[in-house]
Amino acid sequence: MTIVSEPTATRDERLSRITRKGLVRDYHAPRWDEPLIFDLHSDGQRGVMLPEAPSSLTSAIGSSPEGSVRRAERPGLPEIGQPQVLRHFLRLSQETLGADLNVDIGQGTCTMKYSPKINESFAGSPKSVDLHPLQHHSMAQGTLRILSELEQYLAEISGMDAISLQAGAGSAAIYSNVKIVQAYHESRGDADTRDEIVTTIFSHPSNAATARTAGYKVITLYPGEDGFVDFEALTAVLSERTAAIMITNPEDTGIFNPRIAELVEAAHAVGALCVYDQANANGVLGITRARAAGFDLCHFNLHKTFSTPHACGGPAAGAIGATRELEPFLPGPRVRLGDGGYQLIDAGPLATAPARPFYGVIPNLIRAYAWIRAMGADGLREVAEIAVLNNNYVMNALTRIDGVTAAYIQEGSPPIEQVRYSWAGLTQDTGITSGEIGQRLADFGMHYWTSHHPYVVPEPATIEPTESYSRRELDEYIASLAQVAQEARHSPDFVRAAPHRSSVHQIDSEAMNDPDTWATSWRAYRRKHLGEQRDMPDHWKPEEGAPAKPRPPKAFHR
Amino acid sequence: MSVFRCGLIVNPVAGLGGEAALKGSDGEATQRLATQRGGISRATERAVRALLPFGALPDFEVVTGAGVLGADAAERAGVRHRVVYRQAEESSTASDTKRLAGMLVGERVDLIVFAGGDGTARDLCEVLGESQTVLGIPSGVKMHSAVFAVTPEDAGNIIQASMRGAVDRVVADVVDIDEAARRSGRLRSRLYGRMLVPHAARGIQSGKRSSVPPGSTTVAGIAAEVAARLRPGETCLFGPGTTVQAIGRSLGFEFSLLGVDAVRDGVVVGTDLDAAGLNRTVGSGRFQVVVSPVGGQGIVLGRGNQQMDDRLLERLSPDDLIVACTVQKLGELAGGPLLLDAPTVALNRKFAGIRRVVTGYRQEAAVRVS
Repeated sequence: MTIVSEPTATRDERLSRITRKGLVRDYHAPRWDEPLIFDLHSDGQRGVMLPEAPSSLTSAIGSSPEGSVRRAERPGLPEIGQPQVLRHFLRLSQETLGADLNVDIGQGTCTMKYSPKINESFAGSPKSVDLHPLQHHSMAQGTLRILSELEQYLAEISGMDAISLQAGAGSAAIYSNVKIVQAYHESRGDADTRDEIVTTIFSHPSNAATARTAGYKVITLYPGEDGFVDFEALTAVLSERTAAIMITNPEDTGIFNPRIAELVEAAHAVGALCVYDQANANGVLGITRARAAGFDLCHFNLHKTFSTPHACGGPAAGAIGATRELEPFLPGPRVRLGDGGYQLIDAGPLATAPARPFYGVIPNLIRAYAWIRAMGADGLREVAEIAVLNNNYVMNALTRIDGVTAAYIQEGSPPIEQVRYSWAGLTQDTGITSGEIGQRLADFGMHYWTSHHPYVVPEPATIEPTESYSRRELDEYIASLAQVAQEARHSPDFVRAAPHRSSVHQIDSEAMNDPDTWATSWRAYRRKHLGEQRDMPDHWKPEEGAPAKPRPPKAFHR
Repeated sequence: MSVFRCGLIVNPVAGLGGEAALKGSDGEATQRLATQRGGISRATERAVRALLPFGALPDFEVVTGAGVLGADAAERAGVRHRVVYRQAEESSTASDTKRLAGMLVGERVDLIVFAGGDGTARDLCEVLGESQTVLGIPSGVKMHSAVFAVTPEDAGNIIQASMRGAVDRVVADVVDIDEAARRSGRLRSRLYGRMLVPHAARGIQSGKRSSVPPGSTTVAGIAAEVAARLRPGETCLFGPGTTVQAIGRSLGFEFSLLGVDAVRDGVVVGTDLDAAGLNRTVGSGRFQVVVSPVGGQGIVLGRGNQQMDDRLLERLSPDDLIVACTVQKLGELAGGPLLLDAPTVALNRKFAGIRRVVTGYRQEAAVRVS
């Protein structure tokens, strides 16, 4: 093979093309402007040609009970060939970012860590994926053993007595915990009196949301000047009406509340339960446990702390931890080791309704199990230590940038696994907001997240480096942010107009917030945007007494 | 011994329109109307409250105008003072404020303290700009500017800190209500200039944020929660501002934007009432009050709602003061504390503490009010 070099290029010019000048990338995202797959439909095209069923079979089915549910019309799927399908989805995948592609530390509180690829071979093993959920337990001993041992590990990690792996995600686990709180108070006859749940503004919003969904009145505590829960405010709102407090620690500010045990004690003193949202457990693994602070219930997001993929809204996995007293209320069948091996036994009369069908998201439970086994006890602690170290490294560098501060971080009390930053200084100097910084960061192939709403810290940004990134990668993220901050001072209009190199330009945030414009299915798209008349499916109705929303009838987005 | 020389300007008509429900006291016509309605300026009284800690101090001197322009207040506070300006017969309060300010600059005072509202701040800003450190003792009707202490006592504390030389100076916005926007039903501030104020972590209020009408879903939730708390047969007073107006609209009431309105048994029984009207409307029984903190400032009582005077607030049970606020606004206030500048120190104490603020349907926030 002959390599032809450009005759006009000097040696220095050729060298400059292969020598990186710095950490900041000269990035550009692909843009395919790909149509919807339904728009790629072409009459008669096929991806797979299935042989005709024998006439004996079709006539037998026709007269069987199954025949009565046979569709009269073909499903409205697009007709399209295999290579077109492949190209369609590859193009879409090129327009995404993800933890396997970019430095994903900008999605604070999401704990974007590495999901080891070898665990895919376990999760995808035929021993797992070919298992039917109704298969007799004698034929699923390996999987049941994994579930049982994973429960034991998570019990050890949290200090709780019992674990349920049934929830399909973090919020499902939190909702299950709220239902356990409700069931517990019902069993004691005071569910009607205890109609309030207390949470904090820096805890994950799912705590307030699930409590409201379950019918509770929600009281939110705001931070004192030090960023911690105002203890006096907590004691002022606790009463015989309090069913539970639901709290994250460290909260999304990344600071660990040293008075957490006192908060728990104060809630217990009025007969309330204490529920620990361990969404931010990555910085305390092997260092402290939910039980040490006296919590009655807790939950883990296995897709955060225990490395399983986040799945972008698909099935994740949540684990619920309970004390012995609350174990009877845990949802779902329980795995028990008996004389005949592992068995699934009924959850019992006090158990709350199942969080989802069957046993939980088995592939993710296998991934989490494999990850914990690979790490071992010392490895888990090391994960926390590196996550904290990385976070402090990033904070140290970022707070040297003019215009950014780390909220609530006191001298001598370093943050745990994430920091809520404030760009208020930069905004005041330049008019560039935190949201605009995030838009520009897309030009470097990076995610950036501000904060949950409402913004309590002005112009917020939340960064959680986890243990999975190299020092060079952390430096790259820091350098990119530093460059954007500099651009804000010198070329604010350029930042304001970003992204310039992403797959899509600025999006209409009002439309993003307005369900009336959403179409998450082809059917909804045709109805909402093409004006087709369709039958409305049954849908959720608000509880009685809830205020009527002054808006047109709900537009279904599915 | 070095003496701290504190310039003092009292605007003797500041706040006149507060109890008279006139949304301000600027202009002679408004002042006449306010006086007819029994309006009283409390500027002198509030200046006295700020100066009380300095009564016996030998190293503190007030430099001021004669009589109502400051000497009366200094005398009542027992503070050593020197008069450098006397009111001319034909002068208006605005021209007195400006002339006295000019004299105080000539006297090279360490700090100019003024008792007034946004109008007074604008007059001072015209003369002083960013050349002199000033501090406002809140005595007007609405104070959207960021040059005021939260309460007269806070002003006293900041003067003390300035005496110790312990404060830096920062530039603060002088704003006033945008009258054109208000006439079209929106509450917005207009920037008139900037002045230097002592930098204090506590005690100086922020500027008011222009109001963004809250989303209809949010307000419907707050409104439903407020409606559930209204007691039959009792009057409920609804304070000024965009949030409370939106709550009213959600409940089917047309409230005034800047006034205090009264509702009993689902019927509006009074609109834009002054202090006398409010006291008359609530009668002798129990009543409730719904207010929303001023956006960006967090002040619950004592800004724009002075119609609810000391007589009324003394009769109001703290449990019957319903504070409603969107989570967005509460977030901008970093969750509190919310602030009180009621007519008296005793009333501030009465309504202080941890309060449950209504943020939605069956949703509350526990917030410190101080």
